[in-house]
This record gives sequence, C-alpha cells and structure tokens, in this order.
Amino acid sequence: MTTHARPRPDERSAPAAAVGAPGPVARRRDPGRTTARIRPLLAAALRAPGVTLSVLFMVLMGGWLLAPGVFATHHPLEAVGDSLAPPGREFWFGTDLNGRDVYSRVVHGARLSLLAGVVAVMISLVLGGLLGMLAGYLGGVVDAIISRAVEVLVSIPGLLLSLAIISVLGFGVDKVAIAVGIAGIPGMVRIARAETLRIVNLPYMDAAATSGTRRLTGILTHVVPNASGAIGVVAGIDLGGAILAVASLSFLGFGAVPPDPEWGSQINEGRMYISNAWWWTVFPSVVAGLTVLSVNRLSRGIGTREVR
Amino acid sequence: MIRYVARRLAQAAVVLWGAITLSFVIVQLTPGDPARLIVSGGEGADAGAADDSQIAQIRAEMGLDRPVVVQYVTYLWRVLTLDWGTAYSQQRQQVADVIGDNLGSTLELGVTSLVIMTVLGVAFALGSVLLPTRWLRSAFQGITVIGIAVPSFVMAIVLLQVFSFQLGWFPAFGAGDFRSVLLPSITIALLGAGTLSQVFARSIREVSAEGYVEVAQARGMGPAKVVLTHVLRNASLPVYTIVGMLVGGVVSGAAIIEIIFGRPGVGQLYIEAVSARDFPLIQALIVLTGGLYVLVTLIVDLTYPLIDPRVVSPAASGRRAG
Repeated sequence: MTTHARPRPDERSAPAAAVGAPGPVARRRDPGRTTARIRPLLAAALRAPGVTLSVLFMVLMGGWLLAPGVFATHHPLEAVGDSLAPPGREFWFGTDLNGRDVYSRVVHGARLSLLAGVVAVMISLVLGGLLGMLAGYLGGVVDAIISRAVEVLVSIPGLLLSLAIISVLGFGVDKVAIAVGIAGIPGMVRIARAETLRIVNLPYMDAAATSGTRRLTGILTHVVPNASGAIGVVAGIDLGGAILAVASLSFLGFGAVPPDPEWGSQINEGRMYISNAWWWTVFPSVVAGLTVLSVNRLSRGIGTREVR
Repeated sequence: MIRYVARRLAQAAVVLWGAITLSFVIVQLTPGDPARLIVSGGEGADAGAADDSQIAQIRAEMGLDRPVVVQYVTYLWRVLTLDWGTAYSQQRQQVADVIGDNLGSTLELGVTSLVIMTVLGVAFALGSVLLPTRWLRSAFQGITVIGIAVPSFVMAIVLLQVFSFQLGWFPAFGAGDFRSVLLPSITIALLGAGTLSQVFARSIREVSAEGYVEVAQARGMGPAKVVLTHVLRNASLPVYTIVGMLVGGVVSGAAIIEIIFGRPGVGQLYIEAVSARDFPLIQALIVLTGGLYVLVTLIVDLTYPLIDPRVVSPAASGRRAG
C-alpha cells in the first residue's frame, strides 16, 4: 500500500504546485502530505461516481463556454461537409441540412444556452432574495404586499409567465433570459423569506437588536450571510430549471435567431428530420439533458452537505 | 371551520384580482405601441409599414387611447362579463369564441395527463419504497430523475419518433379519436410523474418512521401491509399540496406538447398569441390559467381538512393555511 501511495520522484513536485500557491512556500511543503490530502479526495470521488461525473461534465461545459474555439472541430456557421452526413470520424455528431458540423454548433451553443440560464438565475437570485429578505425581516405591510404579489405570480405557470413577459419585451436570447429570471423570482422570494424568518427568531438576532443594531444593518450583517447557504442551494437547483426553460423558449422560436447556435433552437431545427438524421436533434438534446442532470446532482449534493 | 373557508375564499379572490391586474399591467408595460405591434404581427421589422388607420382602429377597440384609470376599470368590467375583445391573430374572431373552440381539446389532454401522471407517480413511489431488493428500489427512484431533467420537447420528440413513426402504435399528428390523445398525455404525465413520485416516496419514508407505524410493525404486520393500511393516507398529504403545481406543469407542458404534436388547443393558441403579440388573447389566457390555478388550490385547501382534520384544529391554528 505504502509503495503505491508514495509518488514517484518525477511526479513529486507536480501535485504540490497544482494544489498550493506557486513559490517557495509551496515547494517547501512535504509532498507526502499533499498526496495525503489528495487521496481522500480521490476516494470520495470514487465513492460518489455521480458527483464526480457531474463535476467532470460541468468542467467540460465550462470549457465549451469559455473557449469554444479550442473544443470545436469546425466553424459553427459555415457549411463544412455534405448535407445530413451521419456521425463519423470527421463529424462527431454528424452534419445538419446545411452541411454544418453539429458537434461544433453544440459546442458554440453552450455559450448562449448556459449564459442565458446563469443570467436568469442571477436575476431571480438577486431580486427574489432581496424581496424575500425584506418581507421576512420587516414583516407587516411590506411582507403582506410582497407575499400577495408572489401568490399572484405563482398562480401562472412559469413557462406561460415567461412567455407573457416575452410578449412585452420582444424576442431574443437576452429577453428570454430576463423573462425566465423574472418567472423565477417568486420561488426565490419564498425561500429567502422562510430562511429570514428562521434566522430572525434565533437568539443572536435578539442580541443584535438589544445591542442597538439597526434594521438595514441587521439584514446585511446577519441575515444575508446566514441565509445565503440555503438560498444558494435553491439557486443551484433553479439553474437546471432555468437552462431547461431557456432551451424550451428557444425551441419555440423566441430565443436565438436561426444562424446563431443554441441548443433549444438546434433541437427544433432538427426535429423535422429526425427519421433520416436523428443526430441533428438527439445530440443537442443529450447534451442539454446531461447538463441539467449534472447541475441538479451537484446542487443537491451541496444541499445535503449543508443540511448535515 | 367557517372562518377558515371565509379566509381562504377571500385569499382566492385577491389572487384572482391580482392575476387580472397583472394581465392588464403587462400590456401597459409594453415598450412602444401595443396596437402597432399587433398590426405588424410581432416582429418590429416591418412596423414602419403598418397602416396608421388600422393602428388607430385597434387602439380605439382596445381602449388604449383613454386614460389608464378608465382603461383599468373598463378592463375589470370586461373580464367580469367575459368580453375579451378581438383576437387579432385569429382572423379577428372574438377571443371568447377562439378559446371556447380550443378549450375542449386541451381539457381532454390535461385530464388524461393528470390521470396517467397520478397512476405512474404512485406506482413509482410505491416501487421505490416496497420493492424487495435495494437495487430495484434505487432503479425505480433513479428513473424518476428522467422526468425532471429531460426537457418536455425532447421527451415528446423521442416518444413521437419511437411510438408513432417507428412502431406506428399512435397517430403522429392532430386530434381525433382517443388514441391520438394518449401519446401527448403520456409525454406530459412522464414529466410530472417524476416530481410526484419523489415527493410521495419521501413522504412515505418520513411517515414510516413515526411511532404508530412502528407499533403496527411490532404487532407483526408485513411491510407491504403496513404501508398500504397505515402509511399511505398520511403520506399522501404532501402530494395533495403540490396538486396545484402539478396542474400548472400540465398547462405549461400542454403549450409545448400541442405545438409538437400539432394538436389544436389553448396551449398552442397561447404560443401563437405570443408570437403574433396578440395582446387581448394573451390577457385572456393569463387570466384563464391564473383562474384555473386559484380554483384548483382552493378546492385542495377546502377539502384538505376532510383528509387531515389537524389543519383547522386549534392546536395547529398557528400554522398558516395555504
């Protein structure tokens, strides 16, 4: 066992540099201690293969998002092969009707699809979190108004609410992101309000109030940091739903403008050709589905750790 | 009990009023001229070419040329009398007529989906709790994730491809006999069944840990009999509270599913209305779905005490209803 665990001389400095900050401090660190820190991490990774695969997949998605040019094999907008060529060595996911490489379009599509989801969640997180904390902390009339407004918004299903907002804002991925974000506000308000109510009733809030902390200061210094854990977990779970919602709305034709690559619109473009070119629709669908699965798995994983 | 019912009715009325107001506000918030957008059919590209007299006519019909307060009061009155005005994207038919023509098809789809969803959700929840081996249980539990992570349109495309085009079991498009409603219903049902079964399974496990269940087990009842006779009733309460959400999911699902299956219905109508920015139709459908949700949650909340009397008992009166 020990011989396996001990790193070979040529590997010795590499993990230390990767983990610690570069420079003399990192180099002085005992390499044996670094492997001791990595080994439980590896063991944990093997014990939870779902989480590990999700992390790896999300890292890949991050790469597609930040540097699509590195991962793509062809130009996403130009015809590079025959029309509707099946998947193979040259075109990993096949080509579409216009002879464009489906794989490269999926890689480039990650940017619009994922960013729109992230922007949507940021909108619901910031606005919903703020309103929820205000409602929970101030109570009274403010709480009543915010809670009633949330009930009204909840009464209209999320997708239909997003569509209504799109009819106001107009079409485009940016507007789709805003619409999905607004539709996510009521859920976030509820969580933030409940969390705030829980925190407000804790003894240290009484202590803060007795020692003369003002209301707004109270929110900022006590409620925000303590509620952020639970709210963050919900935001993580919402991210999966937001990515789905963005894809759905793009699928319906309200999002990305046709030549631009985006998963939802790609799935829609290909669906009429599914009998003779299944790859055009199936690959973007699989990637979108795996993304949502990974995001959900990770946020649930973080969630259970928070609860424990 | 009477106070509970009265408070709940008042709450429902407030939410419904809120939904009506929201549908009014949406048109008011639209940047630019809603009448011009209606004429140009959504995309603002050819808005300049729109006929001014036509715009003026629509503006007058929708009352957009009057002060906001007057518009609001008139709007409330028109909603109460179900006078929704003209659906500009549907050959200028009356909104109420267009919705009336399409409502039946969506109701058929929605009710069938809910029935299938309930059967599947309960079956999977029971499976993930009662099956003899751990492996089978987690398989049943794992499958429910598919319903949550797979986009509805992907599910629809796959089912359509496999069961209509490859196997030919169901007609691919349109609405007609009962067989044509089955596949779209199954698609919608699969999406909600995941959530339903996860909530139900978790609740079964929680209730199973309670003292009275342990007593039943100690008396020598088998696990299946304990769950069926002692656990299910209490475990179904959390499921009952998400019925409103599930119905909302069915309505959302119907919009996308009707488009893919080429089924006429209110969902497809809504998408068309948004594409064409047909505001009177959008307003009517928002109030309709909001009203449906209010009605469903009202029924759930009013019948809830019949299943679980603890809700209105003095001991639990500190808990907020709804």
